[in-house]
Amino acid sequence: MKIVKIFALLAVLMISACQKDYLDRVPLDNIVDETFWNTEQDLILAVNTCYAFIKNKNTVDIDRMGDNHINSTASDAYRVIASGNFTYDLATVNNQWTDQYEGIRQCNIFLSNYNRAEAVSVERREALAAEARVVRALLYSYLTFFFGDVPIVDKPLNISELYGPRDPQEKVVDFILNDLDLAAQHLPREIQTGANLGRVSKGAALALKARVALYASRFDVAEKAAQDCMDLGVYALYSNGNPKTSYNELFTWAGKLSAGTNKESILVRTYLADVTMHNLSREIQVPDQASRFNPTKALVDSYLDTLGYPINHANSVYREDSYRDIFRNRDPRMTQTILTPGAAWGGRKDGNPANSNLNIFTAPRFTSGNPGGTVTLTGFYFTKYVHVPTVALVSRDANDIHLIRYAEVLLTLAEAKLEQGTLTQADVDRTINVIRDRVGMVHMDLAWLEANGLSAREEIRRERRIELALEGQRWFDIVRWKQGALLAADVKGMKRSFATVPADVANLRVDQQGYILVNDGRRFEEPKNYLLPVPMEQYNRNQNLGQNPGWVN
Amino acid sequence: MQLNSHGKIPGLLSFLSFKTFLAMKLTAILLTITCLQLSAKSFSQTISFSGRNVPLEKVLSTIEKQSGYYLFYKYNELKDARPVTLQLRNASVDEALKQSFAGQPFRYAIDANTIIITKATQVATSEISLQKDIRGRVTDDTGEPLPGASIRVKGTNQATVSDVNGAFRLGNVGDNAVLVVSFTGFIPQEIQVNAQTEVSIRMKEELLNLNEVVVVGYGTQKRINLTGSVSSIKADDIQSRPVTSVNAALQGQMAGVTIVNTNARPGTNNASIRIRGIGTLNNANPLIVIDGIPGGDMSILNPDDVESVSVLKDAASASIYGVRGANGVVLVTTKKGRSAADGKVNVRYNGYVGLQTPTALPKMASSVEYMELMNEALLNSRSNPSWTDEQIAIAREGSDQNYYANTNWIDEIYKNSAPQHNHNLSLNGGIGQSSYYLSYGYLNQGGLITGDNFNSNRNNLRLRFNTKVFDRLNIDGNVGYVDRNYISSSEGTATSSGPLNAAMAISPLVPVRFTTGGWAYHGGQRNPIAMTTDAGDDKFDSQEFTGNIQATLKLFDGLQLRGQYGQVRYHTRRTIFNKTVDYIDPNGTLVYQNNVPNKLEVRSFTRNYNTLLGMLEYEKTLSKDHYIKAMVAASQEEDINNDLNASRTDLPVNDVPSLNVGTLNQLNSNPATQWALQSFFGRFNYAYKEKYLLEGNFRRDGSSRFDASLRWDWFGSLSAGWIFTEESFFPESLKEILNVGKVRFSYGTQGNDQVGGNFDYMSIYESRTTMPIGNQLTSSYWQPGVANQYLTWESVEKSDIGVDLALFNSRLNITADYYLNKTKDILLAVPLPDVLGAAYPVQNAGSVENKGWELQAGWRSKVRNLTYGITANLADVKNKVTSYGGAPPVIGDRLRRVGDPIDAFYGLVADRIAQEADFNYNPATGSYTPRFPHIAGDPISPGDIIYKVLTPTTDPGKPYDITDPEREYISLDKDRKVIGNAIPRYTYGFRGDLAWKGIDFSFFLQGVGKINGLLQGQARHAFINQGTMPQKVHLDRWTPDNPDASYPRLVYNQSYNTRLSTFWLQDASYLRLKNIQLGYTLPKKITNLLKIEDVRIYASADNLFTSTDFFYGFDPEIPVSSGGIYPQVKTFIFGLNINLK
Repeated sequence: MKIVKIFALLAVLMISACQKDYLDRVPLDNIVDETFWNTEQDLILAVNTCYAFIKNKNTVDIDRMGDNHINSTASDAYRVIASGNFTYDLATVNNQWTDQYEGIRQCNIFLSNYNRAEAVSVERREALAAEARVVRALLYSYLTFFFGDVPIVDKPLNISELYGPRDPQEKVVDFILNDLDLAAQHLPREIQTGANLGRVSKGAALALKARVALYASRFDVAEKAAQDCMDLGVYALYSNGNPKTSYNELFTWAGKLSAGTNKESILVRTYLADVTMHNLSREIQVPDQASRFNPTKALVDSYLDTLGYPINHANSVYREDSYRDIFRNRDPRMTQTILTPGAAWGGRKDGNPANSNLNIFTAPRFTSGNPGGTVTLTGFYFTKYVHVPTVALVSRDANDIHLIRYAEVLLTLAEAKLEQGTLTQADVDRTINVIRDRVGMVHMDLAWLEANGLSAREEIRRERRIELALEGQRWFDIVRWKQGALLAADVKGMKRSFATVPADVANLRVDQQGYILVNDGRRFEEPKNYLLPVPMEQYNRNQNLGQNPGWVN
Repeated sequence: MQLNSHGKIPGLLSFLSFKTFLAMKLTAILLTITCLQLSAKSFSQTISFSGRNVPLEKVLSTIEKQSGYYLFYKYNELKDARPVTLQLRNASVDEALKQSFAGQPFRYAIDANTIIITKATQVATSEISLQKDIRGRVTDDTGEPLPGASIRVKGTNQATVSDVNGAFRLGNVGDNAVLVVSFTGFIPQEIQVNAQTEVSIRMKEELLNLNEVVVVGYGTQKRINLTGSVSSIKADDIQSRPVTSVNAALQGQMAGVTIVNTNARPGTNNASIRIRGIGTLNNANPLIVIDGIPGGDMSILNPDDVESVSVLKDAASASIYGVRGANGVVLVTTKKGRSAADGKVNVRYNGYVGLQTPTALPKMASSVEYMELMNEALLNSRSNPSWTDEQIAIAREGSDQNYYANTNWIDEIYKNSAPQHNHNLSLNGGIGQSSYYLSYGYLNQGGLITGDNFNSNRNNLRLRFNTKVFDRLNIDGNVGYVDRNYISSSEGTATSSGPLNAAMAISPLVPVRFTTGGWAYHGGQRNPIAMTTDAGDDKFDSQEFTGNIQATLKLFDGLQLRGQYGQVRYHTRRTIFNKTVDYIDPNGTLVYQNNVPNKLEVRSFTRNYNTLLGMLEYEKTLSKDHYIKAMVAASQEEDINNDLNASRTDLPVNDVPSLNVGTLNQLNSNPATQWALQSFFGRFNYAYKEKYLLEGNFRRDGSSRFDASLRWDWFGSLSAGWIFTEESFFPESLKEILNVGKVRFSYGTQGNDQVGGNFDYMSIYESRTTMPIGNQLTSSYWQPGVANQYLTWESVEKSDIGVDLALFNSRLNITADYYLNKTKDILLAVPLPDVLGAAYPVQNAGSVENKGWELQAGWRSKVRNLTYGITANLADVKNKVTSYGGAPPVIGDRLRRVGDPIDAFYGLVADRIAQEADFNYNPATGSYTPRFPHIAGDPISPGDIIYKVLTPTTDPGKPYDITDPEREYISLDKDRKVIGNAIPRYTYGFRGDLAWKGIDFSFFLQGVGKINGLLQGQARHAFINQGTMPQKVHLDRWTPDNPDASYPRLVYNQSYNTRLSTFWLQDASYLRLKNIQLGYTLPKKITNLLKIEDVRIYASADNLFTSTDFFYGFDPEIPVSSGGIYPQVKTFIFGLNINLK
């Protein structure tokens, strides 16, 4: 009888082994495609993903590709790119390619599926789709201005669709502008607030369109987009009423979108304390190491004097007899960008042994050692983007990273009109002089410029460099202005003789005028270095991509 | 009790087949004691039984059971017995026997309590001359007594068994009688009595191993009958070495089984196993089956509980595991109880205490060397020096121990040695049809890292119980429980982070502590000693349960039904507490903090693996010559993982690791996944005249990892063997030299579904956090991958041809194999153009071929009292990607390209270091223009590496012309090639052992004959980034005054010289004295007095000596790394084994 029971047991066992649905397993912690894309909530959750790919603090890092500042870490990829001494296997080049396409895929997934949510109103659907389009356009703008021609991908590709050639930059720009036009139609005019604070609105589509058109030298389009953005009437330059601090404050926690008074930042990568943070303030003024952002002599020299003369102009009131002198009689934005003696900092012990106040900067420091303080390669430090309380801690900075500000839109309008030959003093007054008014800088006057032998184009470009220092635009500007020679130049700092302790700088190299020679041996080959190379990995996997001019595979 | 033709006791067959010396002795004692005890017992001397056409064997066992008499007969002979029809009620033993043997071709005789059955044809001639008593003693070669040997007068029923001293007595023996003496594991002997009344019999050990029984997939097989390629080792090969895992114990023991011990960190030393190379571009781990249950973790098994390990290497042996077995199968069998007639328990203790020390550590440059080299490197990178002359002077004088110290961080982070101890206690016994094995093992390993972290504890408990019920049903239950924990610093030991890395990345100018007592910090690098001591810990603790119950029901003659249920369940918890570390400078100022805010993270993992198996087996020998064995089965498996993670920050105190204490950032997540597998499979064996062997396997598998339409597939194998020494044409004279010779061939297919995720065929949305929107934590849903609904099985085709030889009385055993494994439709995430924008989906792309051979030889013999043995194995495998599914090759430092080995090193060919004479120098700009082809974009100068042009221009003879664009540059596209690979070739093991009287000595060499290694990053280079500190070897860098340098010029924060080239590739072959051991077994005289069966003391050392050309500071067993790895260890131990009865 027992044997029969065992038989029965085994029979049950064998039958259960033949359960038809035993192998039909589903994911236990994910959603499958079939059950998604129904509700507005689904759409919001899906579009939110696009925001994860908005360029973050990397916006500031890529500014190092230009000539405004240099990283103490010689292996830093952006420093290496700026020096011209690199090859197409540089990992960062590949990362810029893959990072943008990763975001583009997520935008494409949204744009290919959002219409499945038929229960959601068409307007709402399109408004959300417009957000994805703006992000996609932003990602493409980086791609095409880094690499030139790039493949246009407008849907989630399957694995057999990956081997096409690159599309010409003209086509890519058309694609971007078209996306932005579409987006602008459906996005709300007002700056998004409350639970939607940080989402893009119509102004973002227009401002990005203005930038892309400017970069692509489509000046009429750029002018129109900038004008449309200005006409929205919802943006204004950030000010706390004090011209001495307003500009600087915009780049601290006080200027965060969430602080409520910033109507200037149009496209922002927001940060939130404890939730998502970066390390920018610390990297700029790291108190026990060398700064990752050392302003160059080239940047420092580009600030006008208080009368509006370049410092090397015969009429300039600028004199350079001491370290302190460098900061006297300059465009007020200089002391709000470059750390000035007497300013508060987080770098602790400075280069003046007599200064016992660790919170106030008095002199640049060139050696590490006892006790710790920020070392500079050039003799300069930034104060812009530094939120002093977070300097002491690693990755505790929650500064918003401002991708597009209203000031840029104004600068774009001025440059676009200039390049079309239609710039008037009235245009300068409603753009550049509005920006200068914030800091109390003397107005730009086209007639005065001409009278003093100054070029309006050069001064408008200078204005852009000064206003947008550290904001990731410099390399793109140098490239489109075809000023590659600036990148081939040696990187220099202050006069070595200005150091408080001569022994600290005794073995630093100097040029013939006595300025610290920070880095030489740099190269800029034309036309090669006007574009990044197609990354080695991408070329190896798809040789249809070809290579940019001058690059050796 | 029955003896089969090999003198084995059938009920204990699986145990005794392993002729360990110890086991033989134990058996002997069991037997002897049983015999001695018999007289003291009273049994009912009457027999009751009734049945029709009952096999004689069964009647006899009933008589044995009811009477208490012992039966001696040759098992095989009873096959000729006729079925018996009986009707007995309280009959006497004699009567029962008489009825049972009526008409049988047997005779029986009763001697004392033993019934001896012989063939009727063997009845002695009644030529009895003089009858006498004869006394004797049976010993082994060394003179040790052999209790339990059977002594029979040839041709008669007369027989006896030797006692505990090996002595025996036989009455009424004639002068012309011949004594046949047999004992398990020894060659039977025949002794002519003649006039002797006292005989001394020395038995020779039988060294033939072809009769041993080997565990194979879902069963066992005699080695002689194997047609597949199976390697196995036994408990003896594992025990008494200080190995912490079975994985490590397998290293070097079996040809074609490559074990790489990649991590020696206590608690995580999970050596990787590769069987016959790497057959896939994916998970190449073999399937581990513990006591019939796939899915267990061999690395946490107590090595002391292991009875045997079989490795199934070819399709014939492994295809029964279908989808799971493509990478080979490792079958682990744990120990089983042995019942003793008296129910006595065998108690065994095995333990050791010892020390571990690192095998190799790097030597870092001193402070002054560091400062000088750094200034040189900075100038070489056309930047300014960092250290002033004054600062260097302070360091040289040592006048500022706070900011210009000279710390040897390697000395600081590593302890000189760490303790290790291990204790195992087992009880083994049983009575009648039931037996049990109960063991407890404890392993403690101390860590080599400064601080109290980095140690581990493991408790293993195992209970195995076997019984037979209703005569037909065998129940085998086996429960294993592991409770283990290990701890490490909160930073772990990942190669790219963690304290070991930090110790090589921190400046020697930093002291461990400031003179004022606070942890020292100069900026940039956290202080590794502060981190391992005060930064909190990462505690892992885990409870793992494995249960396995198996029932085997004998249905009728030769047919049995087997059911098995197994479960592996674990609950693991990881508590990571990142405590804030304060750095307070000599002025008392808090200058820096690590881990702000503090954070507690608790991760809880559960796994539930279940399997059910039903099986029908049939075994029969038909008309003597045809042996048939067949099996069909069905099984299913499911594996469900469910994890829970939670974290909080800002704990007000640093000593209560509880989530409840934390206040902010309460985050949690719940990852979970599952898969399932269903299988139907079977096997058929056929042997004709024990000469011709044939085996077939089939399996049909269904996996939840594929779409329903592609889920199921067939796999199978066919194999054949021929024992040519059994052929009549094989000359007898030759057979005395070549005792057994077998050739075998196998071919088969297998699948693999263990790749990528469990739902790669489905479109899945996962949640992720995104940019804060509305100034709050914002979540989103995204599609991380690309679904491939056409995914299906990866399949392997395996062919094997092998030879097994036994020579010189089986003293020499040789096994050789040649194989070809072809893997097709490899499930592979082919790197694609990144316009895809997603993780590369898994595709059925590409094929890999592994071709190789294996040789294993053993010699075992004895010279007087000296027993010695040598076993050696050598294997080679060549790996090649034969197809890449049409996808372009993956070009990188580790290449994946058709025609090359998987992940071959792909790099430039270095020529030499460039000298000043190779350049045009421009004194005005200070720039050097190379007069040789170089990489465009590299700031090349004297002291950098010159590479060779591999793809010359149309006119290769043309001298280098800098204006010729085709000749100017080294192309990373065209001037790289395969320069080596890290797949071990010529892996070997060599083991020797000697035993003389009570002393035993063994050594074990293991090595790799050919392999390339590559050390990168801080392990090999200096100043290539902020965290690569110079080592002493970097003092020999290129400078104008040191043109013959071993290292290129130092260039600060530049890594262009470190591009993969032949300059950096290393020979990582090695020969290692893996283990050396000396033991002493106390003489029986002493142990007998103490009532102890066995006492052995031993000393053993692992990894004592290594011969290699590998880079000095690192261990060649990890040939590719960037440093930061917990070091490999030498282990010295002292151990003790005790057996009590």
